[in-house]
Amino acid sequence: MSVLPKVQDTGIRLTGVDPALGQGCSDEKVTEDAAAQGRPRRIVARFLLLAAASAAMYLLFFYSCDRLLPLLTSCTLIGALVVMGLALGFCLVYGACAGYLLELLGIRELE
Amino acid sequence: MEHAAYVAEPVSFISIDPVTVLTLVALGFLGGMLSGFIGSGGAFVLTPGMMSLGVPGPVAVASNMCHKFPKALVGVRRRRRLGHVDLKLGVVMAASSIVGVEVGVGVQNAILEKWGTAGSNLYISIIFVLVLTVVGVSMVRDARRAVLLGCDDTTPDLPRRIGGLNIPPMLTFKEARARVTLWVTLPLGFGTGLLAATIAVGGFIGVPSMIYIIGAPTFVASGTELLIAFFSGLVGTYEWAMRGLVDLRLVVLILGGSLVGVQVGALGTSYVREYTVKFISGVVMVLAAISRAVMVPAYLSDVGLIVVGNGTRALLATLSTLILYGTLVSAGTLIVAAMVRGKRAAALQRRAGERVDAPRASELSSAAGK
Repeated sequence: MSVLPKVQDTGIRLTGVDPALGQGCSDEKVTEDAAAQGRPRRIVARFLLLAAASAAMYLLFFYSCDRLLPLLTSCTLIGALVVMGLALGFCLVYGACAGYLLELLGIRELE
Repeated sequence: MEHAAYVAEPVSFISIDPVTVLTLVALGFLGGMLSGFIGSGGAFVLTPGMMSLGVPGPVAVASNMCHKFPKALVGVRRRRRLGHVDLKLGVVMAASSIVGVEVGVGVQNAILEKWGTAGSNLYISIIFVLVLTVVGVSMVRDARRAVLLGCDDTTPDLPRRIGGLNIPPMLTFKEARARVTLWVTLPLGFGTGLLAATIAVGGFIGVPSMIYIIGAPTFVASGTELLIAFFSGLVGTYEWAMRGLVDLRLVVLILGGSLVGVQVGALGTSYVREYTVKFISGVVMVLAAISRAVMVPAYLSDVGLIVVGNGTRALLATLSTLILYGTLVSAGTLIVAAMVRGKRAAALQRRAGERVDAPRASELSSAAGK
C-alpha cells in the first residue's frame, strides 16, 4: 500500500515528511496531516483578505458618512433598506473575519 | 410647586471622535461576549452603554436593534451546530414577537413625540430597572438553589404546571424538551418583541420565559432566543429606520467588536455549568439595573419633575458609567476565565486518555510478540 500518490495530490512536497509515515500509518492519517499543514495557511490568507475588505469598508463608510447619513436617516423605504443591507453586509464580512481571527489565535477549533 | 411646560427637543446624533470609536468597539466586544454567553442579545448593556456616551435613548435602542439582527444570525448559525437552537420554538415565538415589535415601536414613538429624548431616556431607564431587577434576582436565586441542591440545573415548578395545561393546539419542542400549548408561547413571544422594540432587551423576557415557563434548558433557551432576536430585530430595524433613528456609525463600530465577542461567549457556554451561566447573567443584570437606577433622578430632572443640580447630575452620570463598565469588564473576565479553565480541563482529559491508551497498546504488542 503506497502513500505517495495521496500526499502528492495535496500538493505538499515529500521532503520533511517522516519516512516512517509510509511504514506505519494509514492513507487517511497521511492525508489528514498534509491537509492540516495547508489549512492554517489558507486561514491566514482568508483572514488577511477579509481584514483588508473590512478596513476598506470601514474607511469608505466613514469617508462618505456625511453624504450617506442624510440618505440613511431620510425616513424612506430606500433609506431603511440601505441601513439594513449595510448592517447585514458589514456583519457578514466582520463575522467571517472574526471567525478566522479566533481560529488563528487558537480560541476556536480549526474547521 | 409648578413646573414650566415641557418642550420636546428633536433627537440628535452624537459626534464620533477616536475615544468614542474605541469605547464603542470595546463595548461591542463585551456586550457581544455576554450576548453569546447568555443569549439575551447583549442589548441590556449596549443600550445603557451608548446612553452613557451621550447617545439619546431612542437612537441607542434603534441602533442596538439594527446591530442585533445580523449578529443574531451569526449566533444562530454557531449555536445551531452546538445543538442549542430549537427551530420550531424559535419560529413560533418569533411570529408573535413581530406583533410585539410593532406595538412597542408605537409606544416608544408616542413617548418620544410627547416628551422628547428626555422622556424616552426616563422611560427606558425605568423599564430597565424593573425588568433587570426581577429577572436578575430570580436568576441568582435559582443558581444558588442549584448549587445548594448539588445539581447542575433546577427544574422550576411552573413549567410542570404549564405543561399540564392541555389546551389545543399543543406543540412539542424536541430540543427544548417541552410540550406546551400555543396559547402560552404566543404571549411570551409578544412580550419579547414588545420589550425588544421599546428598550431593545427582548432576551430578558425571551430567555427566562423559555426557562421558567416553557421549561427549556438554559443553553437551548439562549440559543433559540437568538433566532427570535433575528426576526424581531429585522422588523424593529425597519420600523426605526423609517423614523430616521438608526445611527449606522454606532451599528458598524459595535458590530466590529461584538462579532468577535459573540463567538467567544458562545464557546464559553460549552465549558461551564448551567448554574454558572445563570449566576453570571443574574449578577450582571442586577448591577446593570443599579447603574440605570442611579440615572433616574437626572432624567426626572430633565423632564422637569424634580430639580437636580448640575454637579449632582455629573456625579450620578459618572457613578452610573463606572458601575456599568466595571460590571462589563468583570463579567467578560469571568467568561474568559471559565472558558480557559474548561479548555485546560478538556486538554488534560485528552492527555490522560492518551496515557491510559498507551500502556494498552504496548500490552497488546507484547502480547502479540508472545
